Amino acid sequence: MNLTDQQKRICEQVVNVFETGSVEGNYGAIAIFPDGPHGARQVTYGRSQTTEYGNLEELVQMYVDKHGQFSEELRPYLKQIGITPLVHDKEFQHLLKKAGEDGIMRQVQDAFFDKRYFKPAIDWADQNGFTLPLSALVIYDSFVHSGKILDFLRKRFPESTPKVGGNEKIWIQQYVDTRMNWLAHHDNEVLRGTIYRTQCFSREIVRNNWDLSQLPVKAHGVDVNG
Amino acid sequence: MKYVIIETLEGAVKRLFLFMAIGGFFLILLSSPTFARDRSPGFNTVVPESWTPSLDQLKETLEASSRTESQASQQAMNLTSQNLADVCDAQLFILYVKLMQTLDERGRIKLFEEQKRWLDKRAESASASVTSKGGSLAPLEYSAEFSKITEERLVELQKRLQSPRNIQQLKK
Repeated sequence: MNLTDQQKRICEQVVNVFETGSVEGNYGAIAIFPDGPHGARQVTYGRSQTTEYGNLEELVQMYVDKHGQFSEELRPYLKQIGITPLVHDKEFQHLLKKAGEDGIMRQVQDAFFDKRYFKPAIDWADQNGFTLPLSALVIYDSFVHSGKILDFLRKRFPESTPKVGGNEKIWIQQYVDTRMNWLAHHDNEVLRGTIYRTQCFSREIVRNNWDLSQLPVKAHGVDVNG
Repeated sequence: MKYVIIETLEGAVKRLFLFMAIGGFFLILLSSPTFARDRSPGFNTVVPESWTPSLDQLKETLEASSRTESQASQQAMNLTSQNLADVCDAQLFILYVKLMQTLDERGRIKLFEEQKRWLDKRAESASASVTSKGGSLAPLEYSAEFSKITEERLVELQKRLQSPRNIQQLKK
């Protein structure tokens, strides 16, 4: 899949809006959730939220290696992340929050989340024969929101992927509809509130914006222009 | 504005944990042999009768914001849902302490073991409800299920607390 720089930026900015409410994203966002090993609370950090027991160490290592403004203060924590719980370490969290304002941390996070989410999404799209920029956006969003293209959703619609002879536009349309239906009728009411993502994609499909050339793309009430 | 609300809620949740820590201290005190030996005959309460902390209003506010948050970002929704889960858990903790103080030593040990098993089961069920592993939806799936299971337990313990036997114990 060959995306122009602007098409890639549109994908990233739309997902930034969904995730953080702003086109730029919130690089210093910190939250504590009890979703670590055995329900342990853990620090979640950054534009696309990486976790203490997941890949936070790798992100902080990348930042330290780039000699960011807070690199030296964060360096001692590298030995602790993922080993010693840091949910109660206010100094660590304060440092991460402040580092989120550092241009180097922003570059590092862009590269990191590109590697963690964008590249795997585009690889999946390539492996399955997708070529259109709007398809890239839909697939990338699923990787950020659900970690991947969920198998149980794929089983709920008939179209095959382009790789095995299916029609790309029909597959994306059916996938978006299926995902919207899953979220809109979810047992847990609170999850229903996330359908603004699929609603956005449905609008772009209806206006035939497969190459993402019709701007702005309205994402959750925010204009995205790439 | 949203930021201010979240900050305020964070503060409230922090206060809740302080309260839970104090409650935990009393529970440990209650179950310690020294305390049992030294307490006055007939003394069977941990929390003074006039101390009735309420989380109802905070919970209602959080529930209302989670309902009207269809315009919120994923990060904001995750945070509100987790705050709500923490409030439910704190409510359960309060109820557990209330119920505990109606029981004799054998009953307390039984409830403690039961609650321990239930806590493990809750963590297991909340984890099992996550279909979006590695995605930003995962914390919302987890906390929503966590709240649902905790609400069910709240109803169950409330029923036990209001059973005629317990009301009689409380009156004593």
